[in-house]
Amino acid sequence: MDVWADSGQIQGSRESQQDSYAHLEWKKGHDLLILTDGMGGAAGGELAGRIAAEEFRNTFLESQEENPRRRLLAALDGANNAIYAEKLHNSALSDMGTTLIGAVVVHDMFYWVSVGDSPLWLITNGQIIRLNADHSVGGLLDMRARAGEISWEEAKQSHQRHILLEAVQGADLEYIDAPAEPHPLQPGDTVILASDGIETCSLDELLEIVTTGRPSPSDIVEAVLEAVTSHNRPGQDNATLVVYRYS
Amino acid sequence: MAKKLNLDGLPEDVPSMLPKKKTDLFRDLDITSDEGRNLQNVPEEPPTRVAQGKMGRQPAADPFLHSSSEPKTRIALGARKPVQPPKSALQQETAADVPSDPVVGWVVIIHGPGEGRGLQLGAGQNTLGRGAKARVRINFGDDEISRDTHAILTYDPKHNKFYIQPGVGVNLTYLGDEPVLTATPLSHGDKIVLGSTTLRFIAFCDESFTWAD
Repeated sequence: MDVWADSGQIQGSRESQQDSYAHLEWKKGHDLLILTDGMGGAAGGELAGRIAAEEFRNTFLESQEENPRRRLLAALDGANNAIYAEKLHNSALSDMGTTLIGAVVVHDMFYWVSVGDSPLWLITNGQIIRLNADHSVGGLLDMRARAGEISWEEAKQSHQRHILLEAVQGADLEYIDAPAEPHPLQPGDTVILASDGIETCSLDELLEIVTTGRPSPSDIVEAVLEAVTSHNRPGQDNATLVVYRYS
Repeated sequence: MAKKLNLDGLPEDVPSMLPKKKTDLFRDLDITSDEGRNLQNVPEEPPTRVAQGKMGRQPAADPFLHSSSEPKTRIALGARKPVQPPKSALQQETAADVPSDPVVGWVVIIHGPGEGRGLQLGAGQNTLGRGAKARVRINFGDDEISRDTHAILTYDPKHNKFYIQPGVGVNLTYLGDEPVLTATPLSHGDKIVLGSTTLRFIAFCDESFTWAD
């Protein structure tokens, strides 16, 4: 793969791999990044994530929309409709759904659309910043802690953190993170799309990996997956990351 | 018809956190803007703590780690079988995007971060600022531009005239070489400087055209 992006994944302790991802140069100077984390049982989870990633990519590539944000939203529609269609003729899969992060870099502008709780991180100027909304109870709790309404301890210790508030599942989407303005990138910035299995590592660990030495995206993928694995976490979820370096 | 959340099986405290209208939640908190986004480095999260001392006490879980190794659960959204195709996310956004006010002019960044970009102006007051609340958002990396209202560029449709006036905060705005200290008439081609960013004002409405025609 090109130097500017790489990706990888581990299955963890789960019975199957239900994360999907893609990164490609859509046209010169325009890079498309996709990550999905499927759910809904053994068959459904993998299928939902894969359908969503593939349809998102195909719809994005074929779309007539010039505006990157609108193009991303059109692609999200494509993914959502594809899951709806699949559910229509297979009622056994009625539970399936997926998170989705779709991002496109247009020159130095970073556009994204995100549904669910898969994290999108930007590492810039020695900091790690989460760019996208966290559509889970955990995300809600963090927002309340940030606003000073509850303590951080209360937020982080809650056993309900994992509950998702939105997913791409062939139904109307009420939570979509698609900011009106893109985020400008600086040369040297690193963007990471990840499934939440990667969050076995702390933000500190991730920041350390990205900012120590001059790791390439491939180096980062390898180091992060190794770090996740070395935590030996019981029940480790599928963990996937797409690493993009803007230069 | 907005879908109702199925709150069965959820712990008591979760429903109380949820807003009445689901769509308001993330929008109101504007967490995708600078204000809401966690732009601080990690310190905002609580540091890992390990309980010390007494036997039999569990060490405090690393608060950053998810406490559960269960696969994702989610709130059921009512009927499991899809009954009709989902609403288009793009169309919903399109409806929100349709400008209720037509363009009356532009400011084009001719020097500084974001150079080359043109930003649209509408009738009435156009707040210029770096943050998400600015009507004309100049957010390309110039930190000397105030987040909220650095300056206000006004189009008066009644008299077909443009003005610029200072906003709130400490940062000055320059019209050509002079600081803008009160509302000042603006002419096509004028240069406006905010921080390190120079804008050229382009009037669309003028003697030969207004939207009232």
